[in-house]
Amino acid sequence: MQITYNKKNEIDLPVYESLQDNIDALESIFAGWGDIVKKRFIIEREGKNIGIYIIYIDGLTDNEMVERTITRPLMYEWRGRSATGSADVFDTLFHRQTEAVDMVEKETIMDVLDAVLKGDTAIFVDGAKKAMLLSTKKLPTRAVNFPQKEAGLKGPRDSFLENFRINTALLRRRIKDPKMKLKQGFVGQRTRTLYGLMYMEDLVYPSLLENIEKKLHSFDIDGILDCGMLLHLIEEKWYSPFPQVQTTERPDKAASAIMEGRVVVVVDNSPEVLILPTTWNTFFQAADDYYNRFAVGTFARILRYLAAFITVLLPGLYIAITCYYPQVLPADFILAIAGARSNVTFPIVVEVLLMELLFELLREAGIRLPGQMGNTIGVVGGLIVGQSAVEASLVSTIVVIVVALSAIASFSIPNEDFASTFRLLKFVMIALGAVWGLYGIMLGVLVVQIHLASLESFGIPYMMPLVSGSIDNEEGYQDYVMRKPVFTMYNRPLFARRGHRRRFRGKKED
Amino acid sequence: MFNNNGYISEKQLRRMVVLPVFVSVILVVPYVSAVLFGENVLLGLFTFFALSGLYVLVISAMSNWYQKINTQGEPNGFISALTETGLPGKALTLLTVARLILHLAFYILLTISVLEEAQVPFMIKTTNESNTNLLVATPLLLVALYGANRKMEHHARMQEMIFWVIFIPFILMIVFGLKEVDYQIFVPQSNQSFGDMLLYAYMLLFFVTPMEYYLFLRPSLRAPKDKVKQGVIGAIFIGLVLTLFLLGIYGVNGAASEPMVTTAIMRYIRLPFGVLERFDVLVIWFFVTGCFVLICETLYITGHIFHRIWKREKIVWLLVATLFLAALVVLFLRSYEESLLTFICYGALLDIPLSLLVPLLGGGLYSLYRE
Repeated sequence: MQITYNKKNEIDLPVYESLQDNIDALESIFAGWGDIVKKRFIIEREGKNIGIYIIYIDGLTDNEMVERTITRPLMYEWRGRSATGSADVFDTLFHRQTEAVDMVEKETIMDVLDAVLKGDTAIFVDGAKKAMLLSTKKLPTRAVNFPQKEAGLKGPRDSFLENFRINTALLRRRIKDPKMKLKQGFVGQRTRTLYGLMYMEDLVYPSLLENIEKKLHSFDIDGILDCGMLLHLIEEKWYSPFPQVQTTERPDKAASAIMEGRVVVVVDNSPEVLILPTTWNTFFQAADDYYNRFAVGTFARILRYLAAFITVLLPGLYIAITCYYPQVLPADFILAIAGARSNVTFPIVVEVLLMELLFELLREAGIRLPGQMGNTIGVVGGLIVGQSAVEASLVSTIVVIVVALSAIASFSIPNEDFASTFRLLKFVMIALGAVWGLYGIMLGVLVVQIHLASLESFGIPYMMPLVSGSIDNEEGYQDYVMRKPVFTMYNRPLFARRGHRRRFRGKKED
Repeated sequence: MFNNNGYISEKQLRRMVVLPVFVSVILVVPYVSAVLFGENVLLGLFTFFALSGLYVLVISAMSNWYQKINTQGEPNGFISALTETGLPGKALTLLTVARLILHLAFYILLTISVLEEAQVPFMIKTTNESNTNLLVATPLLLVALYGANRKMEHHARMQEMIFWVIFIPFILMIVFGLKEVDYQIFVPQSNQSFGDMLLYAYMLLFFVTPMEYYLFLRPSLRAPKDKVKQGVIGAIFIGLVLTLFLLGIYGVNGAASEPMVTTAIMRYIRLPFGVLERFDVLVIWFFVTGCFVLICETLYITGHIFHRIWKREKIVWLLVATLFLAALVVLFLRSYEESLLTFICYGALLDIPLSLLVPLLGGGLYSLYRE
């Protein structure tokens, strides 16, 4: 049989009444598949022989379950039970004879194909214009592990996996509220990647949900292999260096976002989920801020904000001040810098760029190399190369300190995407500081400010609550640079629907 | 949820008007008031405060009047009323644009002076002509263009973010400079006639004219009432108190010989613990941000008028042309000190009267047109 695919890479064929037609179609579709398992057998009903065809993919399906719940009952245990006509046979099988719960019937080959490719088993009955789909998935997956990128000292230790269902279960485990909904869909013509929008029905703005769904259906792409790819497709300003969608590998963080009225997008095969909308401030929030005492949480938050400024501005400011405004610094300090630089041949800007590039190379190498080797690279690069560079008079000690401080600061920012933006901006500030001194850096900061003021994430200004206008945004400031005690954070942030923002009531109010 | 519908909040509107007024007052008034009032600066500034308060109230009343006559549910107000009245209205609008271009020229000149104080690389210091350093200010002008070519909401958010940056150096100045103040400045002296004092106070009004941006921005606010006039009067008051502190530190005679007294004063302020030797070089960047606010806001208002006249979304080339014209004016000016006098005279003779007359005439024209 000749199979034709439409522009969306879909097959427009119904499930035929004739079993042989269905088999022909599936044989054509799965021609060349070494891992497809298909079996045609006959069952006897009131003296008639009725053909049955089962198909599934080896490796994606639980073979034992197929045998236990489908093959064995059909072939042996229910032999000879009464049923008349082919449709009746299908209904009897569907409702009474197969020992499975998660079963659906579909009437198109495309639906059957989707299910089989996900690991389900399809059963065709001769004379029925529909197929039975049994959920028999057994996908290869790893065990729930520690979060790698968002480790914390306090709080839960589990993290998302590549398995969609485990990820949704990790969230369901935390929020036992029937109002938490899960809307599923597919993206990618070839990968047909499953995604799910998880949100609180009563907290989320319907317009936000609509906007997200519209965005997800606004493109055609052959494949989505990770939520990172989806993120770039739904962001509003693609050219912005700032991420407009938050990613997290921590289920507790995602659950907290859902309870704030935000939407979590779970993507199959991705060990991270997307949270949207997002703001500048949410990137500075770490999960353990809320598990620590408020003073500790606040202190950590202030440190992170400071770290962001150090990451972006310190190397640029060092160049600007030492090149153009040494008079700003105390005399002893200037002498110390001059002394440290006395044997260095390169200009300060080259010195800083050299060290920054060296650091970025080490970071990149450390990520690509396996764990132990990555650590070795860190030691060799950080200690030996750094020390040698100073001894060889390539760079001065003060530059090593500046670059190291800026590097350490960049790792204090809890979100890797966000920290990368700061690392990128650092190079812009270095260039501006070298050319125009403090004037250049100020211009750079102004451009970033203007850009940030214009940035929005799904209708929410990126710089909330700083730019909240006249909206009484006490909710935003309660969890900003300062993290107030939990018992004073009465309301959810502005993400939650108006009228549904109350989240804490003290004993006095009861 | 937030909508991009051309409306802004009361707080945003207040900051959009307060910021340029405050920056204009704090950067220029200390020097000019020291020159004009001399030892009578306390009473002189008091007169100026009273006069500027009156000016603010008049502009505010006119804005509210325009708001009432345009009740079509669309952001309209002053400029819409002018454009509706045909050729005379359009002539008045163009006159307003011309005035704004001259304001821009002054602000560019002020920026160049602040940048000179900041010892920016590539600045030529051996000349009395500020226009030779126009090229150094060009990047800032381009950034201001970038900031002005925004939607109303985005521009308002930008001003909201910058608001506290502008106030930080002054808070620091008060904290660290209090011990340097000669409190004799707060003792009133009067050896100037009231007429002279009133005239000088009137001349200073040129630096409060950014208040008229309220006329253009008011239609973007849905709330029937706002606190803009209170905000501006408060900002002028703070500016004048700071002026007195500045003059208290620098001395009236010293301030009268230093056109950039606000920036120069930072040299006399020492940070505790010997962290930084020259505090002023860092703080001056906040003043440059202030200059950016003045240029960006004026340019934005010009763009806002262009939007209303031509009803086109993309007006970036018109903004470039406006900036170019303003820069062209700067090329014909000499040093900041000399040009300041020119602008004060221009303000007293033309700009301040026009800032009041144009809305009045516009209102009259609109009433006739309606009849």
